[in-house]
Amino acid sequence: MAKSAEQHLTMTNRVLVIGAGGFVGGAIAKKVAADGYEVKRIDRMLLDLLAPSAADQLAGLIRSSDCVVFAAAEAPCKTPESLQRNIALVFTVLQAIQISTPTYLMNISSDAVYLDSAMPLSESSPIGPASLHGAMHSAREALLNSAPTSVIHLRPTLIYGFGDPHNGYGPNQFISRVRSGADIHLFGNGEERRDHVHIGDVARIASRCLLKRPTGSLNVASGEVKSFREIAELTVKLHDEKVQIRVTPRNGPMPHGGYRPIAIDQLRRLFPDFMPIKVLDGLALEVASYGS
Amino acid sequence: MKVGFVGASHLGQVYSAVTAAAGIEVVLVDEDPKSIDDLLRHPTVSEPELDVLWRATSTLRVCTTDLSECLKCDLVFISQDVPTDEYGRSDTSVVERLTRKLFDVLGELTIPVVILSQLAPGMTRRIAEDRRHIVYQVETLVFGIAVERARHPERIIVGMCDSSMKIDARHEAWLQAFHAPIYVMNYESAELTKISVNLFLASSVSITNTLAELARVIGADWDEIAPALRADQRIGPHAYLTPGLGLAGGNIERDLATFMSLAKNYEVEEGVIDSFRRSSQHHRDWVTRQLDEISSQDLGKVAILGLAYKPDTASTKNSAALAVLKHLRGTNVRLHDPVAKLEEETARIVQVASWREAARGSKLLIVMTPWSEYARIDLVELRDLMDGKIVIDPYAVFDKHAVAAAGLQWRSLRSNI
Repeated sequence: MAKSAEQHLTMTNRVLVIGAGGFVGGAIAKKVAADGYEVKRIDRMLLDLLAPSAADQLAGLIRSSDCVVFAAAEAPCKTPESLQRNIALVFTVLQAIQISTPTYLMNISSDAVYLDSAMPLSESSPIGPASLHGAMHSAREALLNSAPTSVIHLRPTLIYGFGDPHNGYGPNQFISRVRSGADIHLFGNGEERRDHVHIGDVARIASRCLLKRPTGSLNVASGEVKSFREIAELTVKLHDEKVQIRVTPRNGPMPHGGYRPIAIDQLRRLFPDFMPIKVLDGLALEVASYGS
Repeated sequence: MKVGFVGASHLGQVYSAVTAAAGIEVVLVDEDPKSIDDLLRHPTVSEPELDVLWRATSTLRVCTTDLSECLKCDLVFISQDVPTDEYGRSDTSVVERLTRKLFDVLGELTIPVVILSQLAPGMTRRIAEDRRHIVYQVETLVFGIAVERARHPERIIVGMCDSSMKIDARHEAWLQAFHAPIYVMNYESAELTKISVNLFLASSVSITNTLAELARVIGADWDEIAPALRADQRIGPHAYLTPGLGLAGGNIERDLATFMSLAKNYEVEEGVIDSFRRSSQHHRDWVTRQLDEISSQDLGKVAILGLAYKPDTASTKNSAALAVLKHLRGTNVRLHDPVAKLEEETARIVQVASWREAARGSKLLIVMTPWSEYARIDLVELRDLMDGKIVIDPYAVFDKHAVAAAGLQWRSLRSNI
């Protein structure tokens, strides 16, 4: 459960983004720079977090007045080897923070840490990851809780938006297929319903957290549930393309039991004026910006 | 894609490195064989992260003195920094010569040539002559964070022969690697945009220094004022609101000089811009004014920490530290800087390898560059090393309360103890 620290708000801190070359880290770096923070971007080209001297090198870059955003991960984590590398990466960051402690640490986690439930998932819902990816984030949160500084774990749900390199099943894949004139393939009938959050909202919430400095964990979602079919139909409609929505038989059970609603009460309490981007608006935004 | 960079000064080294970091092959050309020999091993300018990028991209880079290597490129940048004299006046002859040589090598080929070097309004059109495919691209690098700014620009300004022309597809491909909004305009607009940026920065620096000086004498605290100014949308969070010792580094001074020369030629009223130069001179002399107030026996042996005009760079162009050293001719000075090197030591002015060595036995200590490593100095240890108690710390590198606790006398641009 996130609670807001009582402190003077300051814009003088530098924000050091670890994983700034990635989809989420890059978007956060861009947003916080636009919001007026001095930003220090660390990406794979500048520092290999798995290198033997990485912790010392990273510690040398962290200033005690920094806010650190830890967005680097090998994601999605699908194999035991990837899990091992992801945990090694967390150890590097943890060691660096123990040597050179920042003012605030923001860990980019995931809603994959939760146990599946038919009820909307809140920050106090039971932890019970059903995938290696969720297990990785769960372990990452637990390890980082021992960091000697204030820590927030942002738990975004399925993120969509420009710049996502994964092209995984969902809005981004649907948009890119429609743009290239290819049909959309839905698993089953695309009936599973879930929350989708726009990358712009993830970056905006991250930037606002850097000012308010809540600690604990925080869901980052739209609060809206849509089926993949609805999203596919919206995408086709927005593009006005003559592509078809086709169905592919499932080869396993629906992820999360076919229903993944996320409670955003905590987010609303922290930022009462925050208006999440609805999927229809988010898709329209993507259609307008794709390729530009 | 392969991109050539002609001129391996700071500009060429930084832009070729960030281009390679985007996965693009680069050819870095310089006329100086010694420089090329060094560049094969490491960059020759000091800039955070440049070494790391250099090593990580070595397989994507060719360093050569042979300009004809540009024939293998899809796009060529003229990337030689324009040198300036002590008055900020530019000498563009080297850029003109390099560009002419490149045109000779390229012949009839229409490989896009992009001039990154800092040119005054009117120069690109003169250099390009009738070659309409020549482009002027504005560089807005900042010493100390040049790699960061080149990799993640907030916008890219492109000057074309005619603003209605389309950017060549090969240049466009390079631009897309940097994910930034692109502003296309004609040559003269782009050249003046560059100058306008720096003159706006000069105005912020001048106004900040002037108001902070007033704040000190009327009992106001500039540190309380600045955040309120940043929150004003018309001033903005990134505004230059930290008091300092005037303009230095050479770039802003260059554009002030260029403006003054243009204003004279075209009879534009220049009073406000000229006042920035006078203001800069006044604030640069703040440390020497402090020294004039200190009795001569306290000047027996002086320690100076910092020579570079600002942290994270080796550049000493117009550095306030050089002005102080000039003022202290005849005094025994021990100077330390983590990166910048004193061009010439004298019997009395000596550069040493550590801040401790500089401080040991000194009557007076001056922090001329706010390097972050100086902020970590243990002030009790410093006091014990020194033979006196006076610390002049214009940028308030040391914590005011820690200075007081250590029993040191402190003078800064923020307040005195």
